[in-house]
Amino acid sequence: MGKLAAVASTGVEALLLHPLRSATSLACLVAVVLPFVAGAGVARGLLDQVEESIDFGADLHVTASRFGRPAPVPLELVGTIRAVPGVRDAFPRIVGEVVLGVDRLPCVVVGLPAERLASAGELVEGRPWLPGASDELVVGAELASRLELQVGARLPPFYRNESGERVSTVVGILRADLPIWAGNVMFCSFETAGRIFDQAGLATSLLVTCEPGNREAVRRRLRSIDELAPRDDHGPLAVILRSKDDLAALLPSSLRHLEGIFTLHFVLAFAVGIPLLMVTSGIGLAERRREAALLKALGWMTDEVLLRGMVESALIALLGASLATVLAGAWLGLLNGAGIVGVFLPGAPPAVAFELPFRLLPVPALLAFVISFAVVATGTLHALWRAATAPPALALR
Amino acid sequence: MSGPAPHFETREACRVFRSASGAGIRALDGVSLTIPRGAFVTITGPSGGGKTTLLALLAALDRPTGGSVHFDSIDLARASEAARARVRRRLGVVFQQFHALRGLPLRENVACPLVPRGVPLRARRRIGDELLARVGLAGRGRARPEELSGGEQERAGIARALAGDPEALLADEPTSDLDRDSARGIVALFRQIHDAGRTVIVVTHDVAFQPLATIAIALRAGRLAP
Repeated sequence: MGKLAAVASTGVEALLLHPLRSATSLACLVAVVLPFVAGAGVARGLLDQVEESIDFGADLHVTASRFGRPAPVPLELVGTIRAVPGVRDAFPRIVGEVVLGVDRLPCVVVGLPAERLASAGELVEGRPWLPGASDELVVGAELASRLELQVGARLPPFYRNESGERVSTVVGILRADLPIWAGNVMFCSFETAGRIFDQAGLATSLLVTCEPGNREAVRRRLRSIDELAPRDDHGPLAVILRSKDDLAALLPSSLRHLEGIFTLHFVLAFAVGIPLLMVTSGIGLAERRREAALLKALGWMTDEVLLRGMVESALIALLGASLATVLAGAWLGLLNGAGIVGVFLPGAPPAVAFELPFRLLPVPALLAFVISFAVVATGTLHALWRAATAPPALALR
Repeated sequence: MSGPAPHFETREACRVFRSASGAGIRALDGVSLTIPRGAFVTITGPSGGGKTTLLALLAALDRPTGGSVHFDSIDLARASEAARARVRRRLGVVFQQFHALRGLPLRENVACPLVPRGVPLRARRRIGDELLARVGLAGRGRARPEELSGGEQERAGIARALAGDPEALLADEPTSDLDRDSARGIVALFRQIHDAGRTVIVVTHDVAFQPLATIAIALRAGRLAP
C-alpha cells in the first residue's frame, strides 16, 4: 500500500514538472468538456421549468383533433364541462403563433379571459389588460427587448381580419426572471386573440381545474359525456383529455433530452480531442520516453511507470472536469449563457434578455471527468507503454 | 567442486544494432567474461569499442542479440521484463549523463530509486540529502538538476546510484567531466564503495582507477582485446 502510494504521489509531481504540457492538456479538455457541461445544465434547467409549469398548470387540458391533427375546440364545451361534478373551474385559451417586425420574429400569442392575468400583476411591469379593453398586450421581456418595446408603446397593425386592421398597445412587460416560455410570449384577452386569428367562438384548448382529489373522477365523467364529441358540418371532432401526468409522460426522459447536446459535444470532441491526443502522446513523446526509460533504468517496473502516468492523467482529467463545471456555472449564471443559448434554443439570439434556466448536476460533471480521463489516459498510457517496454538503454541514448 | 557463482558472467555476448539503412552494426561481438562478487573491474578501450554497450548488458538495461548475460545466475537475455526490473533494483548505475527528472529537486532525483520500495517522500528527501553530502554536495538538495555544473551532476549521479544500497555499482565514465581534484575525490569514493564489499564495474579512460582494478578488461571493435 505504501509502495503504491509512493508511486502514485509521483504522478502529482509529473503534473507539476511539466506545466506547459499539463496546461495545454487542461485547456484542450476544458474546450471539449465545457460546452457539454453547460449544455447539460441548460437542458436540465429547461426541463425543470417545464415540469414546474405542468405542476402549477390546470388539472386537465381539453384539446381536439381532426385527421389526427390539432383542431380548435368549440366554446360551447366550456359550459358543459363546468357543469360536471368535481370541476371547480374551466376556461378557454387560445395559443397561436404570429410573426412581428421587419425581422419577422416568431411570437406566441396567448389569449386568456381577463381575470386570469389580473391576479398576476406583480409579474408584470406596467399592468395587465383591462376587462373589456381590446388590443391591449402584455409582452415577454425577450420580445420587448428585441422589438425595443416599452410600456405604452404602440404596435402597428400586425394582423388583419374582417373588421380591418388594428393598432395594439403594450400595457405591460413580463419580468425577465419568469420561466423561459414567457420570453417570447404575447398575452392578451381571449377576445383580442380571437380577433388576431379571426376565429370567433373557438379556442385552442380548455383548461380545467378540479376539486382536490377529483381529477381522475372528472376525467372519467367527461369521457362519458356525448357532448364532448361535438359534430359540425364536417363531422365529429375527436376531443382529447390530458392530465398533468399525461403531459409529464410526454417529456423526454433519461438522456433523450440531451440528444442535441451530445451531438454538439461529439462534434467538438472529435475536433478538439484529436489534437489533444497529439499533444499528450505526440508532442510530449520524447520527454515521456526519456522519463519512462530513466525510471525503468532506476529499477521501476513497467506497471509502476504506468501507474504514475495514470495518476497524472486522472489529476488532469479531474482538474479539467472541475474547471469546466465551474466555468459552466459562471458562463450560465454570470454571462447568462451568452453565445450558447442559440445552440440549445433554436431561434434565440446569442444574448437573451430572459434569465436562462440551468441546473448543473453531478452526473454530467462525472461524465465529463470520465470522458476527460479516457482521452488523456489513452494518449499518456500509450506513449508510456511504448517507452516502458523498450530497453532503457535505447531510450536513454 | 565448483566455487560460488560469479556475480556477472557473459558467454559469447553479442549486440547488433540496426542502422537506418537496415545494415547491422556489431557493437559487441562474442564477449565472454566472468566477474566474481566483490571485484573491481575497469573496462577500457577506444571510443566505439563497445564499452557502454557491455555495461548496458551487464546492468540489464539492454538485451544481447546473441550469447548470454547472467547476473547472480539469472539469465538476463531470457528473463521477463519484471525479473530484469528486479535485477536493476539490486544494481546502481551511473550514466554518462545525469539524466535527471527536470524540475524535480536534486534530493528527490537522487532518491528516485526508492519510490517503488514505498519509502515516503519525507524519508526520501532525508536520504537524498545524506547521499548528496556523501558525494560532496551537502546543502544542494533543493537545487534543480539543471542548475548544477557537469561535475556536480556526475557526483549527483553517483549519489543516485547508491540510493538503493546496491550489490554492485556500474559506472560509465564517472570522471570524464571532472577536474583532477574532483576526479580524485570520486576515485576515493569508488574505493570506499568497493571496500564495503560491493562489486564495482567502471568504464573509464581515467588511469586513476587502474590501481584499484582487480580485473582490467580492454575492448576493441566489440571484442576483448588480448
